[in-house]
Amino acid sequence: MLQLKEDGFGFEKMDLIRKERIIARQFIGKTPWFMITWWAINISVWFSLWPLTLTGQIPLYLTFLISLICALLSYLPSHEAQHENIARKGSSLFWFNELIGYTSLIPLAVPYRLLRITHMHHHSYTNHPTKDPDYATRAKNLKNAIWVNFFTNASANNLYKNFLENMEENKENKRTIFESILTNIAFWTILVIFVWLGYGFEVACLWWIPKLIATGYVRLTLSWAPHHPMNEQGRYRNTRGFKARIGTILTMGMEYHIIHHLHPSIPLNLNPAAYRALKPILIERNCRLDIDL
Amino acid sequence: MFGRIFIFLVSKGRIFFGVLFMAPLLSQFLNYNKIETILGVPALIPCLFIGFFWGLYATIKGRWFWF
Repeated sequence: MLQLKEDGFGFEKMDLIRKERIIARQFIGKTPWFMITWWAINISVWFSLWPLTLTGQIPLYLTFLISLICALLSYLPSHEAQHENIARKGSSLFWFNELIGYTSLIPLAVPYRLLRITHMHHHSYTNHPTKDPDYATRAKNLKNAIWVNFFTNASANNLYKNFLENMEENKENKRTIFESILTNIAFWTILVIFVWLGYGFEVACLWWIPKLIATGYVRLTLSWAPHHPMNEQGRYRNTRGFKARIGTILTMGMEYHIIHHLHPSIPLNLNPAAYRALKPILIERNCRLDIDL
Repeated sequence: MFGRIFIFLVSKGRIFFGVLFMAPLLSQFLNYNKIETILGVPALIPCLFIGFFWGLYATIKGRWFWF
């Protein structure tokens, strides 16, 4: 500590770290009821659509529209669970964290465990060309990003294929791969059964097309936009705070994604408030911020 | 081993998708538009061919469309 006091820069840096932690702590540790409610409503609506659609009680265009909204909203509750923000490992409610993690992803039909592992790697190696699993979402501009994320990476398996191929062989990773296989087989088996039973349009509107669109949109807003142009690494430079023309709700809160990368334990709905509280520190840290955010 | 199964399913997934999902879906689309048969053959048969060869094309080329 004495050495830090002698070195003016070191002392200031230490002070900034301390201040940042104190402010961040105010937003950490509360039960994220907002995200829990979001999950409960979203998954209930999505499951309700099945009997309503298959019995012809609602028109297909409405099914498609509602299912698309559900699919778009299905990733973020799972994202909270990936960071154990609902309940920590070892706590009596950890099962609830995992329940949200697994079930909220059903409309997207992507494996929770694989997403958790790849997401943790993304946090550890953000914007690293070979180690960041989300680096494949990189694009020159918005037009290019739409093409890359909706068409080139049209399958979640393609995006993480390299990651899976290079996975170390251990018990944990074997389980991840097993669950990934199971998720994919279950998804396609259900779709194939329904289409051969004559419900092709119904399952296409309920699950297949919304999943395709939502997967692309989630990649665009969560992976590409907050890290664009993905050429910088380091805690304070790998993510940006940006003002989106479509607003906070349509970007699903990703304008404040920089807060999530600095403090993943802060729930999504508290990121804007945490951003405002931390903004002076972020400016001092030379973070990439839009002036009007 | 699981990894290899997964990679195999992913690598051949487009053919499965073409035959098992796209073909009956396309056939239902034709039936919906009152096309029950094509050259006297039930619409599902040509749809199965289309599904298989389109899936094969996608597997070889790595994409569904030429662009």
